[in-house]
Amino acid sequence: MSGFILRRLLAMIPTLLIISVIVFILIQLPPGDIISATLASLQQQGMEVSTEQIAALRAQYNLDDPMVVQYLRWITHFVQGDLGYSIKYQQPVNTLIWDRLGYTVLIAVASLLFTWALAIPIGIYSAVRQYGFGDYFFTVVGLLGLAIPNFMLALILMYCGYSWFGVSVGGLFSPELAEAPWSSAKFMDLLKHIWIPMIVIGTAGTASIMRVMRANLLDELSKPYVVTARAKGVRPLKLIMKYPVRIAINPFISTIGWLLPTLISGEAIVSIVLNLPTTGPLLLQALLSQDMYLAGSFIMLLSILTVLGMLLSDILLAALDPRIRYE
Amino acid sequence: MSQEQILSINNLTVEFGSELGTQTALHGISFVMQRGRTTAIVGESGSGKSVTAYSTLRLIEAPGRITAGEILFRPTGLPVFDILALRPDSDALYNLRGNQIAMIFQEPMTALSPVHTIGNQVMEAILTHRPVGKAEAFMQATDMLRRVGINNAAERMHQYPFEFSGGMRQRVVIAMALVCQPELLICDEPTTALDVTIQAEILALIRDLKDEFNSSVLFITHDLGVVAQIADDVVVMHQGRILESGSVRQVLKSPLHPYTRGLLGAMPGLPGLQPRRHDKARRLATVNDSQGTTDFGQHPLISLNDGRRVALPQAKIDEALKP
Ligand SMILES: Nc1ncnc2c1ncn2[C@@H]1O[C@H](COP(=O)(O)OP(=O)(O)OP(=O)(O)O)[C@@H](O)[C@H]1O
Ligand SMILES: [Mg+2]
Repeated sequence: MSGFILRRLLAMIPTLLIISVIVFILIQLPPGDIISATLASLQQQGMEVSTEQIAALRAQYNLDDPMVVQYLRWITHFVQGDLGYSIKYQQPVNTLIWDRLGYTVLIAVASLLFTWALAIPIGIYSAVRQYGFGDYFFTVVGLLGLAIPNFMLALILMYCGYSWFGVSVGGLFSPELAEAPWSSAKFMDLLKHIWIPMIVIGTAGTASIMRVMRANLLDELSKPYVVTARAKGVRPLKLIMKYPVRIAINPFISTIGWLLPTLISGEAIVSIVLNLPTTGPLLLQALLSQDMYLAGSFIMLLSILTVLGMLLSDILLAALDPRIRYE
Repeated sequence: MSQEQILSINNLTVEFGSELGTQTALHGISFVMQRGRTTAIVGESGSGKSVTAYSTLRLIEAPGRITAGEILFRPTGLPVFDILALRPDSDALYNLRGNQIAMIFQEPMTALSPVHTIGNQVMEAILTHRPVGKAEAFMQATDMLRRVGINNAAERMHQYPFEFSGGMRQRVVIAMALVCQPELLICDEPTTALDVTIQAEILALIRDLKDEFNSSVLFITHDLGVVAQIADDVVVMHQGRILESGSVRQVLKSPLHPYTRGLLGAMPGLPGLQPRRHDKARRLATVNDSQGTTDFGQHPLISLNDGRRVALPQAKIDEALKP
């Protein structure tokens, strides 16, 4: 097993190198760069910038070097942990990114747990009571959840949170605590706020996971090994949980890794609406203003998360299914 | 129902609903099983053999429904009761399944859960029915695996089904069925999926264990050769009806019903009509070749003096009995 993991970790290196090249090219692809983008917006506001100033800026950020040189400079710094400098925010990317990435992962994990806690029991119930009233009811509710746009749900929940519980609208913290150092009060404050994004982001996945769980389980319920266990006298609840659910749930656990990137990028709109200090809005800004080090490093981090997620999936799958473990 | 009878099925009727209407899988069949003997049910595919077996453990699920009949069961030293009258969630029903009556299935490749160890699955049978701890259950399960002929049983307890061959898996399934020493063992085509040499070994194993545990066996097969090897009594089924029943000697030596004769005739290597095909898989399909498309079995069963029953008009029986 450890040999398998080591091999997989080594195999990630070339994958990530290729991704880094593609990321860099994609970011450079739109015409212009951060300077011309800034310039355009400045000129729109009626400001004048002299050509000398522009040239000085370009030189300061090495924007006139060949692409290859710029790439190599970026990637060599990146692997040493220096993610570059954001021209737009005038700060090192490192100071901008880590808090946000942390909150993003936190929200992603919370949403995932929420989705599962909701979708899997409902999926099981729907399969066991197939075509019953509950099955139809949850199908309708699930599809509604799928159909309501996330930002809309966010707005509704924000309104409810404010008018019923008096929780300040949006964000992850109350304004007075946002900049405060960590304390139990701040943690409680986080709990008070995080449920809105958790529900908003979580409901989107709930409907589909519910349906997939239902279908997987229906498949398994009629398998001979389930009949065998029934014939042994195993009671229904234990029977269902131990055998078909155990197998029907495999695909979810083994695809956790794939969900991470979608959860992280899927929250952008919600984060903007809810004013969350996560990566989505920052990434969007970085791309719009062609802030290449910020955007590039960001996407690289997400790619690393994705690749690690896949590894995690494979490890979990091997742990869950002996047939894979022994191959 | 006498002491010697362990199971008595009366007028068992099972229907399957579908969009096209209900289909009757069993048209009120009746037969009895004698204690300590092996009763075979033989018939072609779709004749209702498995439905009979599943009904006995109340394993029929929607869209299937048992619509009429009774299945009387008399465990040794206990009063007789009707399995079909048990409440679906009653302790008596769960005690019946796996403890008093156990079942072996046709497909050893899929009858075991792929993600649980052999030991886990065999021990589960013990832990479900006996008030013993894990260590004791492990010992009993290992012991049982040894008795069905699995070497290194203690090691193999920790292995998964995919690490076993088909024949070995069927041994595991047999061990799992017998570990609680059921009075009645139902085998639903336990050797059909296995190749011939393994088939013989498994049959011998079932026969030996039956004697060892003093069980009665309901053995389902479509292979009259197997019936000849293992059974004492035989019930011939066709399209949800019983056409003929009696001891193996009676039914195989001097079959009365044209359908039984056809079955025998389609069997290479058994006395009867000339076999037309030797293709093993198609054996039973050849029944119609030798018998035309006669509509068998609408006639009620008539009991003869020698204990046989046959679904023919009296005149036909007399004709068939003539030397
Ligand atoms: N799950 C089901 N849904 C609908 N009909 C069924 C179902 N199971 C059995 N039947 C019906 O019951 C009839 C008898 O089926 P059964 O499985 O008992 O046959 P069998 O004698 O065991 O055949 P085989 O030798 O193929 O196992 C079938 O012809 C079919 O019409
Ligand atoms: Mg069958």
